[in-house]
Amino acid sequence: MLGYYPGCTVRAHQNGNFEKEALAILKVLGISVEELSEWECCGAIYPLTNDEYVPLLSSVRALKRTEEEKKEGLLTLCSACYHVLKRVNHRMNNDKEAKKRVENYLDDKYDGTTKVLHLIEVLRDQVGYKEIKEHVANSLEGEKIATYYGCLFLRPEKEMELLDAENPGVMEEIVKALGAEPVIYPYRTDCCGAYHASDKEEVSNSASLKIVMAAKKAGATQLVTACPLCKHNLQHCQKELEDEQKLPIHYITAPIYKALGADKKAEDEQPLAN
Amino acid sequence: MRFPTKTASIKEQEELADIIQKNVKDCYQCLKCSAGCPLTEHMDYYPHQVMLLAKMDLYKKVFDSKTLWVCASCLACSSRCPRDLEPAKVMEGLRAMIIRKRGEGNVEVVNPKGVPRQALISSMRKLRR
Ligand code: SF4
Ligand code: SF4
Repeated sequence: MLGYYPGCTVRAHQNGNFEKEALAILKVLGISVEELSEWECCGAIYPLTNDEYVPLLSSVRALKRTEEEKKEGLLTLCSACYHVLKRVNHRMNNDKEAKKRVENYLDDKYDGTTKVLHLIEVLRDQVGYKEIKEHVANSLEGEKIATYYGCLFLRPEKEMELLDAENPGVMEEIVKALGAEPVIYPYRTDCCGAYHASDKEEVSNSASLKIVMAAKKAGATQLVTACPLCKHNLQHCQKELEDEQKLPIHYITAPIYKALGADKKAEDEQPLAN
Repeated sequence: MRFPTKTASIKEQEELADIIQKNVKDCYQCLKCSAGCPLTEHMDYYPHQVMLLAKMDLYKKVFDSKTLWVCASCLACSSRCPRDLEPAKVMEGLRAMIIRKRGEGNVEVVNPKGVPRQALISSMRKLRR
């Protein structure tokens, strides 16, 4: 049983269906998850300063709770939560000073046994592409899907250790398993402008538009990502384009959900009322 | 880029090193950070130039630079720096120095509506006191 950490942005922006689709997919693929009994926002960014400890506290609480609730790992959907929780975990296990100070604040110990996992990682390592392929009910043949990784998912490479940060391939493999064609284009690991969406829109818009245009030029019919902020930026930067010029932006869960026929299966598996 | 000859005191150097636990003087100006930075078109100094200014103790120029507030901490530079200097971290340290002591961060959240909360929380934590 994996502990599930939804994160505040995924929870608050249900319109993208990220959570609903992810949970349905995991169910079809036989991975059991249970939301942590209590969690709070991870802080949205990892503090790069070495002398600030308070921003680490909420993540450590989630890591600690996973340990207490005896979960096999802490699963996140959002790339940013994944980045923050994983780096805080790394820090707690490698920086004695940080560990001491955090434990003093919390008046509690963290043993450091929690593993932070991303949905994509679970699909790759615990399910496997072959198994995904076997579950495909509606092949996505003919679809050309561009995958966008963004920053937080990949970097810093030596701490995230999930993918080759310069040439990642996991989402492409998943897309292939669904029967669709992955589109390789430049900038799929470049930054979308991140939090500048809220203060310097021209920065996030120009960074994001460059990515969207490159994907379109490479022939993509849709673009998928695993980060709510990337999704927002990549969509928002197209607001001045004509409707037919726009590239649809989805969560990576959308094509999987569709291919697995997860909506149908999730319903079928509901226990009958008695 | 032209440099004035007057330099800042040692205090800033020490303060930055304290915050980030890095020595900017180790930068050998290979430009790898700037070459991969996706946001240079909005910057006045490129990332390697920020490193050079800090290296030369020209903190006044660094503190006045737009670049610190344009950097989105995407960590491309940090992942690639052959000297492991983490330029993104250096920028964070410099921003922290401004935010903590030298008045406020120079950004305003102008567009809170419809923006994911991840962006609002990050920009508040990154760029403001
Ligand atoms: S990549 Fe590193 S060593 Fe090269 S210029 Fe940038 S900061 Fe200096
Ligand atoms: S972290 Fe900042 S300076 Fe480094 S590549 Fe990204 S935007 Fe550029």
